[in-house]
Amino acid sequence: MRDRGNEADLDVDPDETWVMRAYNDNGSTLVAETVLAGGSLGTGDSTATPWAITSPSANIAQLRIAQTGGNPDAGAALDLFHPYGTFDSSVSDLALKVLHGPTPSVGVQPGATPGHRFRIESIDTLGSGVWTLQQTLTTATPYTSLNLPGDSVNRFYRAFGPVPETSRTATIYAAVSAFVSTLTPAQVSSVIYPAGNTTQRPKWSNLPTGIFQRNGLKIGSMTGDQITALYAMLAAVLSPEGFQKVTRIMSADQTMAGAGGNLIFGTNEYFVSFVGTPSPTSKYLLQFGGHHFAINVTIKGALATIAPALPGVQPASFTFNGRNVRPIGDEFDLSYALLASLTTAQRAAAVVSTTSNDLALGPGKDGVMLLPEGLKASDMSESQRAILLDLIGKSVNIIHDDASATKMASVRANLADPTNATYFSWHGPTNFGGVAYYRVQGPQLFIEWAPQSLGGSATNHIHGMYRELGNDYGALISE
Amino acid sequence: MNLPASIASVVLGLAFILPLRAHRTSGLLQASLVEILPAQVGVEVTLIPGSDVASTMAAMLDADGDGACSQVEAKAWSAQFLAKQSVTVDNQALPLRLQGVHALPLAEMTNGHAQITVLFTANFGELAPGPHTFVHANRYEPFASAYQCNGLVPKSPGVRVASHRRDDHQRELTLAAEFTSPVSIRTNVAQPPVAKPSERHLAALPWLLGLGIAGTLVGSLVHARSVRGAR
Repeated sequence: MRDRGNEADLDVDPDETWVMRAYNDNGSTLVAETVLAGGSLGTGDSTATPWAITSPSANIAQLRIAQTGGNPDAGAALDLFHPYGTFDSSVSDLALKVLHGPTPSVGVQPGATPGHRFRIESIDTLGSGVWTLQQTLTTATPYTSLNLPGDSVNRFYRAFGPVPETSRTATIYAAVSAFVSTLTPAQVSSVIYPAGNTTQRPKWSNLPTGIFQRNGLKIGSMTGDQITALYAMLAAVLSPEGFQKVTRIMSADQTMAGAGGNLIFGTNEYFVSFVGTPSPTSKYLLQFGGHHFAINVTIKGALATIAPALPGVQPASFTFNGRNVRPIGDEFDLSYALLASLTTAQRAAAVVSTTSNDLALGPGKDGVMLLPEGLKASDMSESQRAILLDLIGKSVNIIHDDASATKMASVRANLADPTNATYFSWHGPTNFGGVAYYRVQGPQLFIEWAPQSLGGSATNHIHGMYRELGNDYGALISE
Repeated sequence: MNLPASIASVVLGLAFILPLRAHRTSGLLQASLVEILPAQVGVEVTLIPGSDVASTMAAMLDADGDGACSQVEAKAWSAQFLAKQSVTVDNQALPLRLQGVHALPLAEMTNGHAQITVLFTANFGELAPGPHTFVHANRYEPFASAYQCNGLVPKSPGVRVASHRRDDHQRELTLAAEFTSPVSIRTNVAQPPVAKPSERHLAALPWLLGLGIAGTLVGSLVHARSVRGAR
């Protein structure tokens, strides 16, 4: 699509139908609509199909392009279209094509001059919220096909660039420093604990305020600038997928704010703290968490680990701006996809108990490791191992891309190894959506998923754990 | 039957709040972690009473009903608990020794989010190199209980667990171990967090029974009384 004021071009093939709808400034009222069907003038000729959309008033603030029929592999290519911000017009071929990716991912095909570095971002609702970085990459070829994390939420994507190359170390330290610089001296003293402080380190929990009191600085006591800097810091330390997961878990908790009696829910009750003074070269621990979420990010330059981490959620599914949101729904779907793929013999090995469990290595259970059990990944097919790898990735990929890529490469290398085996075990009923616990345990990691029977639907209240064998709190990262 | 408006509103309120509970609501969860060491078995059992049994559980720990759990009461309850535990090696029952108990204040226990952790060991001395079978069974059931049991990876290089299995209710864990040469004893069982006196408002420690921690116990009991006096 080429943005030329009120006119844009779209190449429409003969077997496709596209609908362009314009909305007013709040994105809720349709003010104009144009339909481009295959066979119309200018379609099927491999060149841009001119079209226009007009409104009697200057009230078009949002444009939505949807394919409503025809070729299921069609995509929308957006050329030279950038809704806001600085755009380098010298990058004449910057494009973004959204394709049908393999569920649950989204296929994206960015195109740019080879060697140019640019960002792909997404947002769930135009006009509100913050664009989330999905990936920053430098293309080697004019077009690069990517699979980005997806779920049931429809969202918008954009690509822009070129953006400068910066080192991960510099990016993280700049973001951490920027956050700390917003704090008052009193806040700094309450948020930074001395290196080696072993009392603060395990002070995280799945419980809400009212039962468990966290240390550090909570969002509810921060200024707007401090909160903005906090989120920027988390975005620098985490992957786009991880950052999205964090904010969605917090959004889930926010739906319960004010309704818990003596239990205090909501985003204001998420705390940040450091153990060790942030440094570009020395090791320190960044802790962030609240009800149903905790990460312990050990950072040393570009090195980072996130374990122990507790990604939980309640409610597991909620509606936001009319859309269904499942912050850790991918984990649920992938676990059942893996279970469903097992043969009878494999299932007999994987299902070790008919009743669900609670977390075995939750908060307070540092420094121990369970005996492995269940089905070895080495006894799975390649396609089953691919599902397992995706499932593991949902925990590992919370941390930034450089750190997770290293970790995932190591996990992937071990999956087919029967000696240093990775196990998948299932406790509970095997019918889809039942109250069941699962565990993934390998030579380097430990993952748990435990539905909670606490008065509501257990499948709507999940506790999870991610640990790294021998590397919780970054034990393997030198000082 | 028509409920008075005030009662009806309370019922509606509960209907909304119930799904938001962050604590266990029914029965007693008992989760065991078992580790084999060169000369002993270490067992940690975490008990989480649901809100429907929490007050009963608290009463069991406070036999005289004075609102606190004394050292005598803690020992008495622990003896009852240990009497329902068993550890065997090659079908021979082992003597059990309490190592410590940790719990939230009794007042907090009645809210349904308490956690009681019991640590005990079973000494077997030195075993000949080769295969040995260990079984831990938990028969403690003061009221409806859910169980889970897991074995820990031994940290000692002289011990390897070749296989393990549970019974259907997860009350019993069987570990098939292989012993090589005796090595030094080092526990792997997670230790409950011990709060410093200045931190008791954060991680309350009203009573703690164990070897060599009498000073902490005294401080804890004082704290329990101050809480009671503040009501």
